Order: sequence, then structure tokens, then C-alpha cells
Amino acid sequence: MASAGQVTGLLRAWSDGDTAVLEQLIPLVEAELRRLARAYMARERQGHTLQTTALMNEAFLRLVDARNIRWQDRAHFVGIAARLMRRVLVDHARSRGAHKRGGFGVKVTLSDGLAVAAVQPALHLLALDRALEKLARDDARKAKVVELRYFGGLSVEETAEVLHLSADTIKRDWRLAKLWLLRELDGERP
Amino acid sequence: MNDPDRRRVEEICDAALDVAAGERDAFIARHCGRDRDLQREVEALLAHAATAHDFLDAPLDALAAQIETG
Repeated sequence: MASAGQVTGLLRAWSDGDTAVLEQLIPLVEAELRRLARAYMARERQGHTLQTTALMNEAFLRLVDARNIRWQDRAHFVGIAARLMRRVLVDHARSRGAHKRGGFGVKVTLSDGLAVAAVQPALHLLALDRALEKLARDDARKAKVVELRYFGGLSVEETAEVLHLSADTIKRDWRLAKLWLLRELDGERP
Repeated sequence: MNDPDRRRVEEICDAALDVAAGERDAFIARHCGRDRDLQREVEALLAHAATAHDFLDAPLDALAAQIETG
């Protein structure tokens, strides 16, 4: 595993504007997210649920030396990690063979073999990923806002910090992005 | 049908979201004028306004559910 000092230094350089360090930073963060996600999935089968925010926090704590970090650097860390988290989860869903379209009225199978209907219509991750790709082509910024908020678990204010935009702009992007995504998902439903 | 200008569509949708649901149709009609394509696009988006409110707000329970289903 990468040392905390190494990641902290790279993160600081990157948020100071040295974009070249991303090439070193991304594989380190992605490896840790994959490792943590696998551990969470294993626990999930025993009745735990996966929480990206918790996973993100754990990755941050493991990779970054908290004593030597500025508050903005956490937001920047999530700025990278949200995209990787999305990739990790989409790969995972794909590898489980979840390529069914739609995804409303999904059932959850518990470890004891009991099947319960999800209370809310479960959102299909792969369908969301496709809808986000489409949104990114039409409006890259709104897709990024969704990625940071949904896959990164960032608040409106933290998202504003990462994207160097006002909180009002993020709020507006967020609510409009959700309309575009829902329309796209609705069109996909069989 | 011409694709209406995306920025214009978003301006009207954004403003309409702040209008009470009962007054929304009149608001949209007023702002779209005679542009039927624009009005259709705005209405297609705002049809999801009620669902959008909670959409993506509770991230990972839904995700965990669908991952398990896979």
C-alpha cells in the first residue's frame, strides 16, 4: 500500500495546480478503493450495506496523513476518488452480470435466501452510468456535479469548492441534472 | 421538430421549479409563448420534478440493493 505521506504530498501538489501528479495519484487511490469496496461487499452479504461516503472516508483516512492536510485537500481527494468510485462500482455491477435494462422493482436477496422487494424502486447503476455518460456529452459540468455528489458523497459546499463555483450554481446544476437524468432513465425503461 | 436551445429550456425549468405546482402550467405557457417545441421539452423535463426531489439523495442503499441483485 502507498504510504500516507506519499499520497498526501501528491494530493497537495495536485490541488496546488500540478496536474502531472495525477498519473501517480490515480492508481494509488483506485487500488485502495477497490480493496475497500471488496471488503465492504464481503461484509454486505452478512447484512451490512455499502455506503460510499463511509468508504470514501475510510480511503481518505488510510491514504492521507490527516495531520498534514489542508481542509480543501479533502474535497480535492474526493474530486478524484468520485470518478474512481463510480468506475469501481460500475465494474462490480457488470461483473455480477447485472446487465438487465431498466431496474425498477428490483429484489434484494438476503443471505438466508429470503427475497424482499426493495422499498424504493432500486436505481439501476448501469442505467445511471449510461445516463450520466449522455449528460456528460451534453453538459460536462452537470455530470461532474452528479458524480461528486452521488459517488463522492460531497455536500453542495464541498462540490462548489472542488469545481471553483458558487454553492448556488451547484444547487441549480444539481436539480437540473436530476431532471435530465430522470428523463433519460425514463426513456430506457422497458 | 427543432431541438430547442438547451440554455433556454433550463432557464424556464429552473424558474418553474420555484413556482407552486398548481401555477406551473400557466407559468410555462407564458414563458414559452408560441414555441411549441420549447414548451414540449420543458414539460418533458418537469414531468420528473416530483421524483427528482429525492432522486439520488439516499445513495447507497439503492446501490447495495442493485449490486446484490446482480
